Amino acid sequence: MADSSTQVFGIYIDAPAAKVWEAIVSSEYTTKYGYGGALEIDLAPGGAFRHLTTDEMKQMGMGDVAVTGTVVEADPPRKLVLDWAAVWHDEPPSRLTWDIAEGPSGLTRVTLTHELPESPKTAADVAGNGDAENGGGGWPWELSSLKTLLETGRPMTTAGGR
Amino acid sequence: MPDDDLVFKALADGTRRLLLDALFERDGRSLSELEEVVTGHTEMSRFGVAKHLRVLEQADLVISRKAGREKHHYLNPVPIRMIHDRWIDKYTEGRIRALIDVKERAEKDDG
Repeated sequence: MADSSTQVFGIYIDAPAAKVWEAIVSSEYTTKYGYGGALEIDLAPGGAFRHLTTDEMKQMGMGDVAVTGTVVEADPPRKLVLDWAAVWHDEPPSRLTWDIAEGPSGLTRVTLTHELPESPKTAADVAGNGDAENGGGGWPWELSSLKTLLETGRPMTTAGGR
Repeated sequence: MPDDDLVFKALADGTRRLLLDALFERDGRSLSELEEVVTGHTEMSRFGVAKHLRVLEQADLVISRKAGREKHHYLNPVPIRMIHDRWIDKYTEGRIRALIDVKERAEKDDG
């Protein structure tokens, strides 16, 4: 992508907003979709955020932490804003915004906006133009596996998962 | 709710695929920028381009965000990811499985 400094992803999930929120902020869920890995998050403005690596990621040579960050805004279960930095690239933090809106039918709309004007390498990785099995699934893979987990209860992790 | 039918219908049109390709190249374009891309290929009014964008939005392949007086359009690759996971993987996996079966049977016969 020539310009991927802002990326927007959307998905509908057949689950209440509160459950989607839990799946985004608690390790009980984050270990079961996308690329897996437990979370440490202090849900207050200025609170620390760390997405830990899985055993597979460690075997690939990564340290204990995959993503570091800071909570900018936490409004459960509607909005979570993070300053977000991928440890595998030496780039400035980017701004990640989760918008979660439950509709009248019970479907929840999740919109993820990632603003990375100064982090081109991270931007290329999270865009998800690669093979999900080889770590290139980015946010599309994270979101589609989150949907599968919440709607079917089936854990869905790949390449460094669990 | 966007479903597979809406996505396949949205993809079954050259102008709409051109719009998606344009956003893949550079995301976050305005209607007038996208109109320029389309009119470089074919004759179409701004209204026609807007109509195609609406179909893409209904299929959730494009998400628009207001930025001041303009609307910026973003390619949402998630529905394509889901179709890939649900359909394409299923068929390619089947073909690979069949090849592995042939190989296993052949090797068993050998021994």
